[in-house]
Amino acid sequence: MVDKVPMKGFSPEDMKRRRSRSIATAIALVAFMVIIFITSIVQMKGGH
Amino acid sequence: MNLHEPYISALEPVANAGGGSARDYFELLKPRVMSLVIFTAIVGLFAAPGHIHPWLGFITILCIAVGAGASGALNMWFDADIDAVMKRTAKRPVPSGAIAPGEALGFGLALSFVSVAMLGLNVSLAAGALLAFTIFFYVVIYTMGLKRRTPQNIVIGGAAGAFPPMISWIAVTGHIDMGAIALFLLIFMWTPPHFWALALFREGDYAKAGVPMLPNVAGRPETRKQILIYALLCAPVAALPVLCGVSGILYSVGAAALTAMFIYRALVLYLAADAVVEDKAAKKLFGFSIVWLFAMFALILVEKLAGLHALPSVF
Repeated sequence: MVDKVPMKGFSPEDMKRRRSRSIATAIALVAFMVIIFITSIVQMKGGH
Repeated sequence: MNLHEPYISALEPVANAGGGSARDYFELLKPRVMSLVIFTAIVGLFAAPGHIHPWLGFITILCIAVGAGASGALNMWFDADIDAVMKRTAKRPVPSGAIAPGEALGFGLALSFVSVAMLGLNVSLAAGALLAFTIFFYVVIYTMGLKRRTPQNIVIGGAAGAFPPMISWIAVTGHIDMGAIALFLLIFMWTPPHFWALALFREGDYAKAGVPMLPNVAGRPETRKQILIYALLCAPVAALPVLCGVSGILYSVGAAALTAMFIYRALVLYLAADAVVEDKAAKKLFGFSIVWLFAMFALILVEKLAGLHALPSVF
């Protein structure tokens, strides 16, 4: 039988860290989208 | 082989590490190595015959930079145990506890995937494939395979650092030719004398970590001899960009002077009479080797930006 692991909530520091990581991930994904969007336009115009 | 085994004992005190700052994550990318990668990749982009849209050129350099950073993060994840015992590397984010090993691994893998996918999808599949191979070569062949096993680690592993100008060359031309190989060989031949000079005045560090660098395996006199041999080999390699039709008169004159100085510094080290002179000569050679590589690539770039003509290729 598996022992019961006591549940532990996130501390305010953990939450702060998780929030900043979420923001960083969101920014990275938006940047990724923008890059693909601009590249698509460049290639549609025969830029290569 | 259990990849986690080597660093369990070394990292036990920081088992609950993690949550590093943005600066720690930036350090994980090995920014100094990255600057060299970016610079040589930019030169490859300008030196390659042909045209690339500025936006795609920018994406190429960005992807190469991110790929290099990913390699650095994966290297720091795997080498955390030996980094912890070496003075030069003990303050890196993983051994210092700022970033947990798992975080470094995840970060490195994510950046590897994003950089390769972006380069392959946006610019060229061939360039993306070579970037993927470069990351694989640095992390698996060099870091996991060669580094702890053979004193020839950096001779073979040096190829990983030599690929970036070749990747940007492929992004422009779509194929590898003698010009790309010339740029590759410049970095490849420079790597052993550069790192062995460092190893000569950091021998204790490497020995403590059990890394078989040439000085602590073959001895200091043999290392000095090998440094001189590779410095001499840099001379024909330095001529290659001219012979391949990549560079012209300005590069020829500059490269001759720089390489003569490089060989002179290696010769001074080879002839060092005692430990004090050797230490000083090794430090001077190490410093000059960085100048040599930057200046050689800068000469190629200046010629291209100034519109100077390359000499005709003999190939």
